[in-house]
Amino acid sequence: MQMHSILRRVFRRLGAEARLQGVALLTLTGALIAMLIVVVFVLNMQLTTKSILRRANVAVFLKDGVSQEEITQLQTSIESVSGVRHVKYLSSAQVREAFFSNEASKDGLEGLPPEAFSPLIEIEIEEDGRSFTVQQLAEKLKRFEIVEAVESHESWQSEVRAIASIINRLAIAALGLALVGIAFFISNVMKLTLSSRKDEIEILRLCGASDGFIQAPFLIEGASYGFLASWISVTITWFLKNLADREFDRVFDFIGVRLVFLDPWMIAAFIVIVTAICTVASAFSLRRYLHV
Amino acid sequence: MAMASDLANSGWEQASEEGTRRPFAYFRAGLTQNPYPKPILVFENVTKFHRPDHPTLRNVCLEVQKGEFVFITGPSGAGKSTFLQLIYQAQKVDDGRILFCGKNITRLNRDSLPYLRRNIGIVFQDFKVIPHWTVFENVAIALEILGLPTRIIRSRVGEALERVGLKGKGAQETRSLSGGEQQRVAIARAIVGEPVLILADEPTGNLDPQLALDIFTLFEEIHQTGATVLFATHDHSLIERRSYRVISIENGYAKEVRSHSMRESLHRSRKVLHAIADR
Repeated sequence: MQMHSILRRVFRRLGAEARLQGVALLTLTGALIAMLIVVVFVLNMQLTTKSILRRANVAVFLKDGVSQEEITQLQTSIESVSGVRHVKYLSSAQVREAFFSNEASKDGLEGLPPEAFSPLIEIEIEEDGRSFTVQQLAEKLKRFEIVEAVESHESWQSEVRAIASIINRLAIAALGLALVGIAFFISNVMKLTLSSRKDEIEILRLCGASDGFIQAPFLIEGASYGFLASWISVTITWFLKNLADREFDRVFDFIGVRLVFLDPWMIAAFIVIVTAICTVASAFSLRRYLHV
Repeated sequence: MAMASDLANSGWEQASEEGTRRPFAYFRAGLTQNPYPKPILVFENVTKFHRPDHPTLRNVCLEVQKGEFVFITGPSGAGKSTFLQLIYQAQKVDDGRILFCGKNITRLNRDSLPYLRRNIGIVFQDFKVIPHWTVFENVAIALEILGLPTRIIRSRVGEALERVGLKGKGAQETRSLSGGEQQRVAIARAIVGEPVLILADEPTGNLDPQLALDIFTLFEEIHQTGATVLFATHDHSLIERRSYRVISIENGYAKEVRSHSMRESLHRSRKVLHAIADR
């Protein structure tokens, strides 16, 4: 079968069915933009969650009058635990300073002496690849005599993880539904196209055209819808992301997260998947409705 | 010139080696050296029912020789179209068999049908052209289906349009043409692949008498290049005009109301072919 003959028949239809094709392309692009926004949102949410969890520290409050030797010994022990990224000692004065660095904490408390604040050791823990839970670490640290109390954020972190997981699952379900919807939409567009070209198909059959010869332009058309709509939607979403960048930076700057877009591989995968779904949906429609 | 090469390919030759691998070979129009060739089309006790108690065709038996011009006539609804549709397998026979180029086509499966139809040029009363395509595109599609290269398609479509009197109109949209011209486009499409058999299903039914005569003359010219033509019509003025074989279908029975003069027909066709070759 000759490719140029197929393409010629595809292009012949461009003028004749411009309205239907335009509406189909616009609708598909709109749906894909919505999908991409969800994908970009989930991607950024995952990165933000990771970043927040990564920064979640364990604070070990020490008793008063602890010697520097004991502090160093404890610090060394904690550092030797795998999964601990960083250990930092803060004296009472440093804790006081850090406390009053926040404007809201100053009201009426400026008179507090450094002794009112317990010295502490801050532990930064790897979110991934650790061999213990934060709870287990906290329990072990409490056994040290020089430790007054241990403050972990395990319950808060668990909640963040649970919420992120729920949002992930909802997003995956929504994306799955959207893909099914796209397949259904393309299938219906093909049904309409087949109906409007019934006479043309009949004539081709009478001239001795094989099924492949008749179906090829429809498959190319379906694939083109997917390819064009996915490209356009990626471009538009990228512009939207750039527009949202400044606002996002203003709101989330304190956690050091920047808004990210899909990397080139993800974009390629998105285009391939959408094109494939549109082609398969067209093939399904042809199989079901091409009965001339 | 394409016509000269057609002469070289005359007879029942296959258009290409590829033909031997196809479910149904591709035959091209042209005269054989044998003045009494095997029949191109044979109906053997063919019966077709549209209603269980009332067969449209009953035990039809007939033979059509290669290079013949045959009128199929009968009143409206007699089964002329059904008769033709059974040949290009738009309908299936209920009983009996049809041999086309020696092959039983009633047993062809769906995948083989396109290969059968590439051997048959069909012209309809309602033209069946694609209105938003150009004249060239409407004719070229028959060759695109055969998978011919663009260069050959261009030259053969040009020749076909010239033969039907539409030279220079290839770029026009078909819907802008008159009824007679649209029918010429359909004829050009039917003959451009040089099929061995042309089926005309009341091609003059929608045309005024003068145009009908012009179109009929065109079919005669096509016939004279070696094609076998089955021309369904109920227009007796056309039938009376020529002494071709006439088969009448009435009450489901097909009877020959005028025999063919095969020798005369072949002699005339050969004279025309030689004249074209000499040119």
